[in-house]
Amino acid sequence: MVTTMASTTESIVVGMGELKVSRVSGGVLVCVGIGSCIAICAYDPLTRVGGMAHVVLPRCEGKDGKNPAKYGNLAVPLLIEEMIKLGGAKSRLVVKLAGGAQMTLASGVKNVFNTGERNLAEVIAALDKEGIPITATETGGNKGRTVRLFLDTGKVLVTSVGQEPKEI
Amino acid sequence: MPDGIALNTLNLKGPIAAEVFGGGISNAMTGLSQMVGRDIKITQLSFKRVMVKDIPNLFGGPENLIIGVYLSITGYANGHMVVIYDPQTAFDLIDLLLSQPQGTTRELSDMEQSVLGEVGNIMGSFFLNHIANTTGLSFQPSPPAVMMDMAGAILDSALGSVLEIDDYTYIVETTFGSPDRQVTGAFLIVPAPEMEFV
Repeated sequence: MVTTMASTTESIVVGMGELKVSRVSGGVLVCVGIGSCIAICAYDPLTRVGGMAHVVLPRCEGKDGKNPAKYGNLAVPLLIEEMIKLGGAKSRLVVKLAGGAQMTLASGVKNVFNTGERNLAEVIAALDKEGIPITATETGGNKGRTVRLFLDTGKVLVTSVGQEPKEI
Repeated sequence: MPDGIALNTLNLKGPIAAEVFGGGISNAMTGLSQMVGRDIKITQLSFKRVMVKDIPNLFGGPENLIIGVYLSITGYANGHMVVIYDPQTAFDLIDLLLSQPQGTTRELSDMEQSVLGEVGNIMGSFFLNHIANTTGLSFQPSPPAVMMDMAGAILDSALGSVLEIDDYTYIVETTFGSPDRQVTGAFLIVPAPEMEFV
């Protein structure tokens, strides 16, 4: 189903620490191969504006003028702002989250790599602060994911190695 | 110890850094050669500054299935070390090390993880020993973590700590192989971004 659509869709890749919004007909926003990162997928079903943030780190205290999109606490308000610019409305946003895996890393470095959980907690807190409910999640575990947001439908498809793709 | 190394100010001149890291990687290849009983050589080595988000692209793209052996480096300076294999190549390497017929290993369970972890240990220790001998500073590797997954997923938690400091970083990217091409892989070193190379 997805593969047959591939020829007519336009993939917009959202790299580590990036945030992209689009309302291209047939477009797909995609975070490829995320582990502890979070893909925040937001969609306005009326205007079909979609946005995706690829959050790498939980939070930034103070200001990081260079790239706020990489932090959970800063990416959320930025994503909302960018979507409104493109015709989205905050009250209509449907938000789905994927990622935040705990990659199996060495025992001695566990502390550093609790990032999956911490990223997720910060994103949830930031959404809560904005009063935006989370419609669906596909988070945790210890497998990498590729996350696609289809701009025509608002569907989010999550794929992992050795597992069936899952729609959320 | 070559003149001009000023690691104590966390400041390595670019060409000297390349020389020190290159020597460390040669030494890691010596360790690997001894372990597998084959002459393993560096096929490509580069020391460069890249955008952190582009690093997974060096290994076939973020969705490419790889086996990664990760060690964190702590000590005088911190960093990350990852040995990256194509899964089939890693399975063949495991068969070679366990003296099994080629094709025996088909998945990554505890035994296989342990074998690849040991290879990572050897490469990491040989690499760090050389750096320590050259600079007189001490570094320790963490226990290895062995993962088979998408390249982006394996690298993102390690790269997150780099991205916290800067969107760009220096990396040492190496590919290696034996003449019969039976053992091939890549070796990535990401020094902590607070280190400066001028």
